[in-house]
Amino acid sequence: MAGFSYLATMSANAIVNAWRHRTMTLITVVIVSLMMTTLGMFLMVENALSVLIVSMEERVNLIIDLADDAPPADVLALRQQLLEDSRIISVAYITPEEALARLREYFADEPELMQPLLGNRNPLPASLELRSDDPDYLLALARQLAVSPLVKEVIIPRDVVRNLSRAIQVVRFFGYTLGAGLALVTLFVIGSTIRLTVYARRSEIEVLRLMGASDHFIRWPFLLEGVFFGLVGAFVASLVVGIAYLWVNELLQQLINFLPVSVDSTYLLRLVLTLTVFGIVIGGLGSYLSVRRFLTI
Amino acid sequence: MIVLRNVSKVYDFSVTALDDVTLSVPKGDFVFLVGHNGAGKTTLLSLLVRADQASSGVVLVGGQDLAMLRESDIPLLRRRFGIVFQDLKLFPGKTVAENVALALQIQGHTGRRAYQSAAEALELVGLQHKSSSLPGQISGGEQRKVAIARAIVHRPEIFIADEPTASLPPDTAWEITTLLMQINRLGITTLVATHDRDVVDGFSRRVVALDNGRIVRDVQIGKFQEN
Repeated sequence: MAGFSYLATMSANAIVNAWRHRTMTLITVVIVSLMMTTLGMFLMVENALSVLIVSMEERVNLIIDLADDAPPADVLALRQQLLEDSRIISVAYITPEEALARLREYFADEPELMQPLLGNRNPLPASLELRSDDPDYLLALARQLAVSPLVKEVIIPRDVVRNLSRAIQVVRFFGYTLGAGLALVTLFVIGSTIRLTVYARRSEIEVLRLMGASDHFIRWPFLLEGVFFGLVGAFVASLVVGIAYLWVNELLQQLINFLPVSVDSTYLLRLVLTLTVFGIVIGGLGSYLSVRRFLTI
Repeated sequence: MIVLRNVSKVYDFSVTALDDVTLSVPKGDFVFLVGHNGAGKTTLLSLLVRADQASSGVVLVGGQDLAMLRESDIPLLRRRFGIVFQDLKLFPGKTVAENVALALQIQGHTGRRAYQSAAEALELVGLQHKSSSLPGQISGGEQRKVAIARAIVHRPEIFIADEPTASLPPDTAWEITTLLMQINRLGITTLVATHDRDVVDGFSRRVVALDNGRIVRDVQIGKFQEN
């Protein structure tokens, strides 16, 4: 209880300090908010790409179109053999009827496109759809199966996935570089503000020292002030990024409805938590470094 | 309570602020430190709270040699003191009550208890009704009283005041000094640095006179200046 009361007193002192130098506080909060909003936006884009790639990877890794004359017993044996392979996650057998149904569903809005393509018969073969975590193994398997008399054609839609993977790697690299850069700038901005506050309050600090104030008593309000800047920045960033997330989701749902776009409230919560923790850490660290360097007690 | 033995303080290897000062102040004593500007009064007070260190000699507070004090123990030493600074050093952005309660917060007392004690200290100096005023909204004499309330709110062992009556009209100066006497009656060792002749002559207490850093007179019941 005493600890809470002490912390409450320190927090009140920190807020009074921030209010007393409100122009400086405002400038710092705006800059920190901008930094953290940019970081939040990056996290959101990175997440969107990750969701997209996971979804595409989950759909299918390898499609084996079966020969029309493949004996059902041999096909079943092949399926069983693939199922027993520990590197294969799943094997689904798709009948020609199921394949046609999928196609019809895909072109449900434009059935007239289907008619000349299909005529009165179903040209689609039966197929096996395979999923695996190991792309290299799948590639080898594709080469091996391509020569089997049971197989008409092996389709590897992995190129798209591979390109997306490359894209996300690039985005992540730039994102982390940007994130580290922004973290440094935020540290510098908060550190500078605290340094100026320490300078502006040097005579008060001197009085506190003569009155017997401990290092903690003098330092804590500055540290809490830094944390306060970080928290306000995180709050503004969460608000902006949250609104942007919902807006972009709605827009994507309208524009490209075949993509797996949906509002993920747990992701939003995680994003807000990430920004809040980031704000607290960066704010506290920025002021700690500044106080340690410029507040000699 | 306070002992100075052959204490000297030299600034920048050439300016002698205190020169071979020996002084003993028993617990509960009241001492006027008198002398003109630059006599060494403020330097002597600053040595007591380890705001400065003696160039030579020994300074003891409550039997503790201040030269041997660790840096981390300096705040503990200072909490034994109540200090009224020459320029008061009140916090302009804090209310009167907040200024007084600050002395307790520094000692780790927080919340309602600190403000209750602050109210009692303000009552003692007759300023309870000004609790929520800012220092800039009250008179110079009232500001001195706030500084005194802040210095005594934590029940210090030693009270030191540097020119507490400077620039005050005689009746207010008298009132402030009476207040200091009351504080001393609580058993608090009191040192008052002043060059206010009327105050010193009017209260008939121990007078230690400094001149050019040396003690030139130490009398139990004295005047500002001997005839």
